[in-house]
Amino acid sequence: MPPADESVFGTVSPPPGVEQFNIATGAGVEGIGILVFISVLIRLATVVAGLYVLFNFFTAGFEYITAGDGKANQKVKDKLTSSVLGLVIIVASYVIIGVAGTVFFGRGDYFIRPTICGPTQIDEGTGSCIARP
Amino acid sequence: MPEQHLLAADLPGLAGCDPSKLELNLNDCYRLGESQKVGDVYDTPATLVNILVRNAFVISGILIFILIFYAGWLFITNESKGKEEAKGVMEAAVVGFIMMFAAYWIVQIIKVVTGADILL
Repeated sequence: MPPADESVFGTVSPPPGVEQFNIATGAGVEGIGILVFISVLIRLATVVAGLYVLFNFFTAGFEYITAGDGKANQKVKDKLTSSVLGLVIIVASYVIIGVAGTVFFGRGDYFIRPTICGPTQIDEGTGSCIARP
Repeated sequence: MPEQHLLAADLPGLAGCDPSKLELNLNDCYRLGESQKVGDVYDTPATLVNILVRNAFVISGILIFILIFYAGWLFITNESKGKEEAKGVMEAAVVGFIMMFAAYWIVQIIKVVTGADILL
């Protein structure tokens, strides 16, 4: 029988890739790094989206140049507007979710800097979460 | 080899948990950590519900953020068809979130209107 103060299953240490995100939270290896990971993914997606819009602009310009007749006009226009609109939505999503946090929860960074709260971290008096991950 | 009779009450942190007693309090027997009783943290089922709801809001907010982001992507990548899709995604995200936010109030209204014994 194992000693009572030691778990039967032992402890699972984070895999090497996960560890660096855990440390990036500022809470050491114990931190929950998935939020940092999602941030990195979103940042990457923003950059890729910007590049894609640039590419769309190039192809639209190319289409406009090469098309002899006036038919390309509408197509190019659609392409450009939807590209710009899409990029605006992507960039504005930060603002939108910030506004949603302010409107619904009274805190602009409610979703931008989210907290994962356990039962032991709740302040009895105010009902708010004490620890930030 | 002598048979070992290990009573739960012999383990540290499990004081008060004696299965041989007639009045067994499961709060004393279930443990969260090595020495923390479940009953000390979750004194009522509502504690668990509160925790789940609190974190569900945060997670749903992040999901909505990603969905709006995805709607933007749809706009960029497939022009005319993407607009319809993006609109659907945005609509679903916003309506879903508002429903989630209003769920408590809806049940509260049902409680007031019907007088049902709901603990809110």
